Amino acid sequence: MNWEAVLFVFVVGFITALATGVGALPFAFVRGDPGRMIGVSDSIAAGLMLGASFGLLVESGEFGVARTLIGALAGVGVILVGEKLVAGKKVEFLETRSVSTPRVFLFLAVMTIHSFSEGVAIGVSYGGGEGLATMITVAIAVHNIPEGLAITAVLRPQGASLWSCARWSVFSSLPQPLMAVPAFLFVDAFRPILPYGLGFAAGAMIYMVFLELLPEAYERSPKASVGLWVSLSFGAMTLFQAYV
Amino acid sequence: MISPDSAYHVLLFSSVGVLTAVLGALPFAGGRRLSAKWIGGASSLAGGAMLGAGYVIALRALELSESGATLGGTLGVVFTRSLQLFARVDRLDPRAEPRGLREDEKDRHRFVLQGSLHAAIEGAAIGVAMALDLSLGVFVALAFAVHNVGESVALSAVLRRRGASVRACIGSSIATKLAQPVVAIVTFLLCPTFGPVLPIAVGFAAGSLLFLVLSDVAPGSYEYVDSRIVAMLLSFAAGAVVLLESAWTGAGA
Repeated sequence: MNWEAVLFVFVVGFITALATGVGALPFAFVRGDPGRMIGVSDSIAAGLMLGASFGLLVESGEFGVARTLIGALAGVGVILVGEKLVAGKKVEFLETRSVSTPRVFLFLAVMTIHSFSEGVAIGVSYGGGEGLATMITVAIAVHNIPEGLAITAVLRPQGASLWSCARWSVFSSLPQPLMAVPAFLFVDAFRPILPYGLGFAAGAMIYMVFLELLPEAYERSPKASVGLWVSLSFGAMTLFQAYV
Repeated sequence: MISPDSAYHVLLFSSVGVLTAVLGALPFAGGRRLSAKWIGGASSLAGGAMLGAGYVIALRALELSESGATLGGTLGVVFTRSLQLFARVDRLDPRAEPRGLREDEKDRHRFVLQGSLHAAIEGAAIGVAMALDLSLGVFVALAFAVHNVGESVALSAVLRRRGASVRACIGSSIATKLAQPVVAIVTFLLCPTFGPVLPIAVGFAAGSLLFLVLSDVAPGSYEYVDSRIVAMLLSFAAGAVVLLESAWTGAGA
């Protein structure tokens, strides 16, 4: 076995995970009480997540529409179960113990779970001996930055420090190096399940946006303002993906 | 480039949506009333389909020109917001109790105006989609036709609360959706003259659709029914449109 190549894939996956932490940086320049920007923050996170997950759907649909759909339904199902599990529980994590902590916990879980299939995508692209592997990895690393931004946008108004937002952003992407290695080693076994995985990630994220982020945003901010922020960040993410 | 044949296609497919709008008023026949849940559910499905269509059109605009699409999308958002302010949609409360014959009649006209602005934006989207690629256009037109059923259920339920007859509901549903084929055919015929401005026009259609869903249709849905149901229907409809489009145009190409 070529251990050097395995180590290389792991390191590459790890670097993409670190890129997620960069997404916390823009919030270093935001002044004022973070708690007052929940509406706008949630809207930005919602737009970024919608852009990311629709991108996943399109990518995954090229491998197989039916498999993507099954994956997406499973993604929605897992959120439904997850929501039942955390509802009414006292979840102690971060510096926050607000009423919305279970919701934030679930959101982080979704972002973390969705990284599994991105890790598989990295591993499969290297294992397939495709010349595009470096391109794909750079693309995933760059995509991770707005995902870190989305995570920070949700955590920061809950009172989490910037440093803790960055750490949780990186944490949410740790499945990438962990999944990249087995996917690289057993590429033929992993390739057929990729559309299920991408569909799963997309389904879970889209459902999370409409279940938690948007309703809260509409409660906190005027509808037109939410519409504006979501449209802008959604458009920016889609433009960004077209560029990369 | 434009043959009478293709203009005929645009008219044909964009008119399907006017017919499906009638279906939305029919459940109210015989004095039946639908609960508020139905309004929320129907408008969630309608909103999801619009969101998916907006995304698909945004991708096409970006393929044409990234800067043009961005400019157009921004203009679309600004334009749609201006229309909303002009039509004072923020002040229309679908859940308000009947306020008396004359006021209700006035409100009915404002709901129809609001719906027509909405349908005009969708018509523009059908028009540009048809001009870009016939199979994409047919797809968008049919997606809106399905979504019109949901929208006209929601409209009819609101009008019935204020004492409108089923016949008036059908009439209002049709009146609201007439803007779709009219604007679709005009946009389609104008598109070839756009030349280098075409990416801006396509981006404009995408931006208007996305903003319309996110500032109006989606928040409206949450007011009627549990957010779990709204989330499920919105996700399903939006995801289905995005996935089906790639299968549809992929197979057509």
